[in-house]
Amino acid sequence: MLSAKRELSVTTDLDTVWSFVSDMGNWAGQMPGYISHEEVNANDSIWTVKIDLGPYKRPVVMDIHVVEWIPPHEVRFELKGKFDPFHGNGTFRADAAGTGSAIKLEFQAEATGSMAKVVTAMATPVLKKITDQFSANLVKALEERSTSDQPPQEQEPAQAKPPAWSREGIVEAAKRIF
Amino acid sequence: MTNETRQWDHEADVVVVGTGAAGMTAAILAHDHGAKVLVIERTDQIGGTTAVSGGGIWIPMNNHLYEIDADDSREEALAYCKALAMGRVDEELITTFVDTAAKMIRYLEDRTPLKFAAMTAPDYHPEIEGGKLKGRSIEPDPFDTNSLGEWQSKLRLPGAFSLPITRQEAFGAFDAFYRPWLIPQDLAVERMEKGVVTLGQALVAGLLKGVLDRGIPILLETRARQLITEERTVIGIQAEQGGARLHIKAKGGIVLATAGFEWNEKLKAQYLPGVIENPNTPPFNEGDGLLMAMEVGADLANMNEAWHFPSLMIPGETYEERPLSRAILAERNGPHVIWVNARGQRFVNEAANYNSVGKTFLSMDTDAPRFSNLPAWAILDSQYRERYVLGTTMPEDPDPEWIPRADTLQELAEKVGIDPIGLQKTVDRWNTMVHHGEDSDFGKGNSIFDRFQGDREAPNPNMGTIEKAPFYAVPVHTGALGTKGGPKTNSMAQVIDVRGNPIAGLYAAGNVTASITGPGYYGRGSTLGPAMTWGYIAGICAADNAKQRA
Repeated sequence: MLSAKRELSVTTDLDTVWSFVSDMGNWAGQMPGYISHEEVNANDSIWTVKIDLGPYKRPVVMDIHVVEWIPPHEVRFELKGKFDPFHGNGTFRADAAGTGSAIKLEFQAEATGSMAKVVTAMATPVLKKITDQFSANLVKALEERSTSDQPPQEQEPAQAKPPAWSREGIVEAAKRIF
Repeated sequence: MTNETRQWDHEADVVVVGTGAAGMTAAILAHDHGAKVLVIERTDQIGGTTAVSGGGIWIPMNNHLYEIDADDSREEALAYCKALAMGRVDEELITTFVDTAAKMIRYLEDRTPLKFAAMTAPDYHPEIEGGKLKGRSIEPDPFDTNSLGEWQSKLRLPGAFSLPITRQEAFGAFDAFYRPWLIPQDLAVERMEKGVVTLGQALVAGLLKGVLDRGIPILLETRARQLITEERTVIGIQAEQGGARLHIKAKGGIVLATAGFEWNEKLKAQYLPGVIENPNTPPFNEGDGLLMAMEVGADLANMNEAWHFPSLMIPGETYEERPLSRAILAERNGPHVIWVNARGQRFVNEAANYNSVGKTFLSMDTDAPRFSNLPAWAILDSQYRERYVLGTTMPEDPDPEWIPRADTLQELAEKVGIDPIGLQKTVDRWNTMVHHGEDSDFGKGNSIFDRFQGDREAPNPNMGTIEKAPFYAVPVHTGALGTKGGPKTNSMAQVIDVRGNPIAGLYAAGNVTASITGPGYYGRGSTLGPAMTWGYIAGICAADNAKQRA
């Protein structure tokens, strides 16, 4: 079993933190190696991220499902590899800490399938790196929110794109990367 | 080219360019023959193509083949190598290789931490005169990289999920071609945790330890740009480091071990007859050494040849920010799979060695400027899918989205652009031949080599019907383990000019040179065997040259 925990402090107030995390799209973009995500509904999304194994990198597609929203503090979620044999779950917890917030992240994952042992061994240092980078990205994103005087901008509706996890979606993402 | 530079940033007897196996072997031998050596490396990592390779080394009459009850002789080795050269290589070079290769390996085993073992893999053409069923291909024993100290982190990592299992362990003892889950995963994990590597990484690590133990300095991120000559003698090299220009003096000579030009689109278009869509090597092999040697008048040979390696590419996978090409093994060698072109026709014995298979992509149509067998696909069915690995997807995993699949051959063909009638005819014919037990079109499974590469647990290791839906079409891509054309060398690893005279002070080894294999591919390790042997010779000769110039 792979696991990671992080405790973060941000200057962002709790309401702003909750406003940020209650939109799953905001999470996805903080993943290191983020390629794209597709929101299926309010609780489900499909993320495509590029996993960094040094000079070698590969895209991984995963289904993210929010099991429970407990505003304004907690989100519990599960994830599952769409094409790779792994699954996991995690918790995001935020509490007021003065004018800012204290955040706890917990995450567990398990590789399954016939190559589970070696995949787990390879994934262990990678998970640490991903968690560190995700945490740093999240802190930066939240603190940018708290210092910004501008309301969030209205975005033009995106043009229809192929699903991120589809062959076309991955090829399109690969073209962008190359 | 004459250069009047006299201000030197570094001075050595022998300067070796490149830290693959050829280069580091040269560095070790030059040092041991009394030279002050300096190594320069273009990237920030040690090992070049060797580090991402399988680490196999083809060495005739090696001192390990007897350990697996194999035998060899000088006459057989010469006959085999000459046959594969097809008259396109100076026989003196072949003789030099056959007579020196085993000596080189014994030297490295005596003077570095490297140890080797013979593999049970056959030569790639075991049925021709002099071919052997096992023993000529050797590989390094697992190597503990902790012995490298701070240089451990400089070892180039392999290009994919490459597990620290030797080739013999993976394909000899286990059946990892088809069932990678059978490898000893606990052993692989233990080695990963302990920093023990195998394959090309082990070879590089062992050679690097030899270089470090000798105190030979290595300048990383130092790209060689131009040879410095004086009165037609190479006396040094100009390089770039951190944006600054360096002038490095080499009293005895320069050894170019800079790999090939497979990532240089201009040179590929100029010299290669076909398309190498995406090489399998680190994306830094751009012909640096070739260009430098040409500038000083080197004669060239074998320029139309490459170490062909048909490959599989998983969209989005990258190595050093370039698309990654993977080996395609079970998806061609085994049962329940054939390769077809856009006409739906087979065009090759899919289980032949990859170099021979790769050459079929050079065929041109006669009625149009078009490659006959590109694009190409591996067509397989669910019998394959249920049993074997597909790319990196195990039988129990969901079908990856990037592999086209359909419930009928017609639907599959229409999806990917294959003539559906042609494909159906081909598959029908294939299935008939499977029932008869012989591929009368291309001989898949006829050779001992084919059967060695096949699924040893299947009723027929290479042949199985394609009849159970769903069907899959895996795109095949042309790749290469490097180019094998470049400056001609003599038996002293000296680069020679168009008149056949050595260019004083210039030596070369490895894929930068015109390969002594000519158009052929002996067996596993055909790139590294000659490369390291020539590195061995180049190091000795360059060191001797330095003594003579002293």
